[in-house]
Formats: sequence, C-alpha cells, structure tokens
Amino acid sequence: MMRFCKLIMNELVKALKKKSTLIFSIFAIIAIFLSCLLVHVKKNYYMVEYNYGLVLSEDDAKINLAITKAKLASAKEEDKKFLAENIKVYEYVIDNGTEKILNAEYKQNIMNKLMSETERLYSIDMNLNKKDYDIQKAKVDRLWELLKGGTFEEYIAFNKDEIKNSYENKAITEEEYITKNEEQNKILKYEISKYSFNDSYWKQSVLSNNSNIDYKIKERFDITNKTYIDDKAVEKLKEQKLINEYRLENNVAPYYTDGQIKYNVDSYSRYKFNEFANTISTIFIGLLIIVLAASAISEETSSGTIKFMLITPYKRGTILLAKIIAITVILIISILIISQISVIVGNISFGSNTNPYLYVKDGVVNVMSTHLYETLQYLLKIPGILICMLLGITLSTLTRNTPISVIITAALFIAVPFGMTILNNFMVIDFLKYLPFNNFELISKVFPIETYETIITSVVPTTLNFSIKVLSVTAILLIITAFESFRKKDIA
Amino acid sequence: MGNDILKIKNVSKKYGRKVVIDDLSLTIELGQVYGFLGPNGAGKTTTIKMIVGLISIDKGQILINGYDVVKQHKEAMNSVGAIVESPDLYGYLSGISNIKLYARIHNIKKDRINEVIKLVGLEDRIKDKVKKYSLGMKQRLGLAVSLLHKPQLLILDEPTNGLDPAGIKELRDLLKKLAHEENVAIFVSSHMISEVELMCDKVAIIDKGKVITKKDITKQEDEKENVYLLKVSSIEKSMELLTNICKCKIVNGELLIEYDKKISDVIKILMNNGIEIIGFHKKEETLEEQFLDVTGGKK
Repeated sequence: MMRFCKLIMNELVKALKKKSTLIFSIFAIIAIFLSCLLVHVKKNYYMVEYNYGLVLSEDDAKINLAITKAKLASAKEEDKKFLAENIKVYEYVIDNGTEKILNAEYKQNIMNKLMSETERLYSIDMNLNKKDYDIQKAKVDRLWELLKGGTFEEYIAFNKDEIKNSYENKAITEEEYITKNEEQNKILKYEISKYSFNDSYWKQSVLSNNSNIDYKIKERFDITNKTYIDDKAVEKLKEQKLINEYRLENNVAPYYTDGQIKYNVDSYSRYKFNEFANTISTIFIGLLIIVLAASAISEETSSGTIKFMLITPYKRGTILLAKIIAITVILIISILIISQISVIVGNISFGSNTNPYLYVKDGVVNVMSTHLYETLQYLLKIPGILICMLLGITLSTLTRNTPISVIITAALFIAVPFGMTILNNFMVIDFLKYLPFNNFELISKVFPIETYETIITSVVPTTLNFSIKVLSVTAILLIITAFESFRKKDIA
Repeated sequence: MGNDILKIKNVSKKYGRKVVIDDLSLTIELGQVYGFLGPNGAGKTTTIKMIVGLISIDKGQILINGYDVVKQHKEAMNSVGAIVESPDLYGYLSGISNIKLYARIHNIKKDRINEVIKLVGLEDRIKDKVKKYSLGMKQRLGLAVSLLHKPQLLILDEPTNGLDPAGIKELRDLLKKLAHEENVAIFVSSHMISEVELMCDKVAIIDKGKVITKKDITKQEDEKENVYLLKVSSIEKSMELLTNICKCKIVNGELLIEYDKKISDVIKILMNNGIEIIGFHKKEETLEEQFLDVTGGKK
C-alpha cells in the first residue's frame, strides 16, 4: 500500500511538472475573470434598458391628454361628459407632477380605475336609476381622494369594499368572494404594486404560478404538456409552491433568466457569472485532464520511458491504476481550487451570498449558501470529465498514439454536447439518451430551478438516476478495456 | 541454483509467422560480465525485453533469481536493473528528479542517490533538464537509475552508444568493478566485437534468434598463445628447417607456426641459417573472426 502511494506520488510529480498542466490551469483562471468581465458588460447593458420605474411618463401623460382633447372635440354628446372628466384627471396629474402623483404602481392602477369608473358613472341615467348613480358617484369620489393622497393600505381597503359590494349584490359567489379577498390580503401582505412596476411584477408571476400549481394539483392535469400528473410530480409541485411562498415572504426575487434580470440585478449577475465561469473554466480543466489522460500511456510508450516504469517490481495493472488515481486527484483538486477562485471573484464583483439556492427538505424551505451552491456546481462537473479521462486513457492504451487519443477525446468532450443541442433542435432521437455524452449535465438535475418562464427544449429528458447509471456503466466498460489492453500488449 | 542469477530456458518468440527468437537458452552467474553479441536484428533486444517482461514469451521460461519473470514479475524485478534499447527518461524533468522518481519506488536514501550520481560522473549536470543532455549523458543517467537499488542482475542494451572513448573506458572499468568486486551479474548486448572482447568474461553470439556459440574469453586467450605468424625472406627454406620442430604452413605468403616452447628457439634457428625475418607477430584467432565466421559476414 505504501509503495502504491509512492507510485501515485510519482505520477503526480510527472503530471504537475508538465507544461500543458500549467498552461491549461492558467487558461481556466483567465476564463473566470473573462466571465466576470462579460457579465459586467451584460449587466450594464440591461441596467440601461430596464432602468425605468413607471409605466406612464410625463410625456406619455401629455400625449394622452392631447388625444383625449381631440376626441372630445369630435365626440358624441353623451361621451363628452366623461371625456371632460378624464381631461381633468390628466391635467391634475401633469400639474402636480407625474413623478409625484404616479410614484407607485398602485397609483397608476387608481388612475386607470378612476377613468373607467367615471365612464361607467356617466353611462347611468341619473333620473332613472338614482340609487346606482349615487353609489357610483361615491366610488368615483373615493378614487379621486385616493389619487390625491391615498396610501397603499387605503387602496387595498377600497378593493376589498368593491369585492364585498359585488358579493352583497350577488354578482359573485361566496367561494369567489373568499378567494378574491384572500388575493387582496396577499397583495397587501407581499406589498404587490406598493412600489415600482419592476418590484411587484415578479411577485405577481410567482403568485400566479402558485395558483397554477393549486389548479394542477386539484385537476391532476398539466395543460401545457397535456400530461397526467402523478404523485411524484405532485410532491414536486408542492415543493415549488413552498419555495414560491418563501420568495414572497422574504422578498427574494427569481433571477435565473434574462427576462428576470430587472427584478434582482445583483443576483442575476452573480448567477450568470457563475454559469459562464463554471462552463468555460471546466472546459479548460477538462482539456487539462484529457491531455494528461490521453498521453498517459501512449506518450510514455513512444518516448520509451514506460520501459523504466515496467522494470520495477509492479504489476502493469498497478501502474495504470496509479495513473488513473493520480489524474483523478489532480482533477478533484483543480476543480476545488478553481471553484474557490470563482466564488471569491464572484463575491468581490457581485456581492457575497447573492446566489443562494432554495430547496425543500422535510416540508421546510432551506437556503443553501452561495458558496456551497457554487462549489457543488463545480464538483458536479467531475463525473463527466472523469468519463472523458477514462476514455482518453483507454484510447491511449489501445492506439499508443497521443495526438489521436487527445483529439478524439477532446472533440467528444467539447463538440458532442454542442452537437447534441443543435441536433435536438431538429429532431429527438430517443436512443441517443444512452450516450454518456448526453448525461454529463448533472447540475440541472441535482439543482433544478424554476425560472417562471417557459423555456422550450426538445432535449430528451433524462433523470439523475438514469444519468448516473449510464455514466457508471460507461466508466466500468472503459476501465475494463484499458486494463485488459494494457496488461496484454507488448511494449515494442 | 547456486550462483545462477539468470536462466533462459528454451525460449521462443514469434512475430506473426516470423520466428524472432528460436529455442534460446542461456545461464548467467553472479560476478560475471556476460556479452551478448549479434548483428543488427539478431534478436538481442527482443531477448532482453522478454527477460524484463516487456513482451510476452511464446515458449519456454525465464527465471531471475529463481523467479519466473511472467508469473512472479514482482519478485523477479526486485533484483533487476536494466536499460532497454536506449536510456529513455523524462526529458522535461531534471536528472535528479528522474532519479528521485525511481528512488521513491525502491525506497532509496539520499546517500545512495549521491553515491550513484558520483559513480556515473554526473555531479555537474544533475540539475539540468534531461532533454538538454547528450546521448552519452543520458546513458550515464540511465545507468544511475538502473544501479540505484543495487540490483544483482544488470542488463544493458548497447551501453556504449553515444559515449566518447574516455567514457567507454570508464564504463568498462565500472562494469568490471561491479561484477568482480560487488558480485553483480552484468548482461551486456552489443554489436561491437571489440567492446565485448574488452569488457566481458563470457560471450554468446546470437544470429537470427539462435545462440550460435558460447565462448569463455579468458580461456580462449590461453589456447591461442602458441600460434605465430612470420614473414621471412625465404619461405620454402624456412619450411624445410622447421618441419621437424613444429607444425607449420603457409598462409597468404606468411609462415604460420605452432610452437609450445620458447619461440626464441625458432627464431635462432632461422637466423643461424641466414634467413631474414621481416615480420613477426603472435597470431590470435580474434573474436571478430569467429563472429564473422559464424554469422557468415565478409571481411
């Protein structure tokens, strides 16, 4: 055992002193900084694009005013009254400053509501239906008050009264009344529309996502995919609902896609940075490992150094095993180092703990710290690279040709995932899911994320267990081939 | 077993249909420098590769220290140091790093490393990268690596390749010292006759995968002591004079005589009879002649 450790030490020394090791490590580190730069550029670009607070700007209000005035000039007699009222609203807003009056999304809602209710008010015949007219008049007056200086809470109270009225007039059922009231309570609780549009939009998405989930669990049917929802899927939906509630209560916005960038720029940037850095730097680590593995036997054979190795009191299998272990050690250590560098760069550039991962365990939402989440994402790249390493070693022992082994393995490592993505856009070939290269992606299977946006993919979905099985079988086959061929072949 | 460190028993090897080694048998004892002489392509390196287990053996058996090199590879290799074909070491590592790799495997202490480096005369350049070494220096480094663990059997494949004359002499002396003082068995393959002649105690000549002849070089010299070649003014007269005293015949216009007693007696007789001696030298049947004889080469 002691001697075996020494053999591994030797392999480590040989591998670490190679120039290619140094070069690829440097490239991997450069990739992290490059990703950081890229995300900064992207962040600044989006910040400009999304940096608006309100839907109606002062210019917009002025244009609307002019349009309404034009309408008034050519309107029918019965429409003139409410158009004049609308002009009053616009003039009030413009005179007191759009920024000041429409300083939150709910104010905007109030203004829109005021206009529609005014239209309704003037459609009621005052003489025929005096009672309705008075009720409507009171409503419009209350809305005017709200527009002039109502708080968010008063706005919710108004909405609730509205719902209550409808229920009392038997316009809605009791069930509807309860759900609508509940909805208003949630809006109040999660402060939806209390601030700017961007602040509340995601909350509404999450809320509607939750009501979708409720519906799905009730009906046991997924409308978008037209599939039956089984118990397992129900569990997942329930977990998703818990996470959604956590997001609302703790004001944690989702940020996983470009469409969600405006809600939480810091987290979005950190997430993107981690995604880029992880993808690019692990490609270089992978290449480093592939070069080491694919040259392991063939280079020593062609340069003749293998002869000295074999004239030692070791079995051939032991020597090959030492090489595999040494390269695996290098892989794990380099991935750990790169992941920590990446986390540190991310912390400095985009704030620490800005990319936490939410997951449900025993019915409670847990938060995985950014540090652990990102490190684990790096570690999940190891199995894929490990398979490539074994492929490299196997080709190296079979062909005894370093360039061929390196090129084939590296090409499969880099090109196949891209190639499969492109191919999957055109057709879905089911049996291709058995290819090990289609099962390298483990991150999305271990850490599934809800993006709140429909992302269309036609990739054959495989589960984590399936991927692990495919990768294990591949690994075993490769190891057997490598050992058998190395044990028997003559060293010419 | 006794002193026998390496036993090759009726070994054969085929590459496809071609027989490379054909029923080869050899025995090497401790304290012996054993020459393995043969033309290019005779199967020297193939034999060595089979001894160290780099290639499989089709028929027969090879024992090192009583251990089968195939079945008991680990035990057998414990007592072997070898340079096969050429001293190929890691070019991107320094000499000392290369040595340390093997020192780690064999549990060698620092004193021994320094001792070996001094032994092969590489003290000055040991920290340089091996890719900057000349072939001769690589040979020395290869030898250092092979000697590290004090092997009982040292196998060297064309060890003098790339060495300068001084280096060759040093190597020769070193190998003789190792064999005769430290009781190491040394197996040296070569295609250079003079080298083998100077270095080895025993020699096997191999051609087309077969051992053609085995010679004990030290004994060989004793046998040939009494054959002389004379160049004289009158060959016929000399023949007449000497027929009674010793065996003689004419070879290429020179007189070849075999005489067991003092050769000065013969010369006295010739001179007393007025025959002028133009040239005189002791005739030895050199290994070269034997080598060319058996391998069918032309002079």
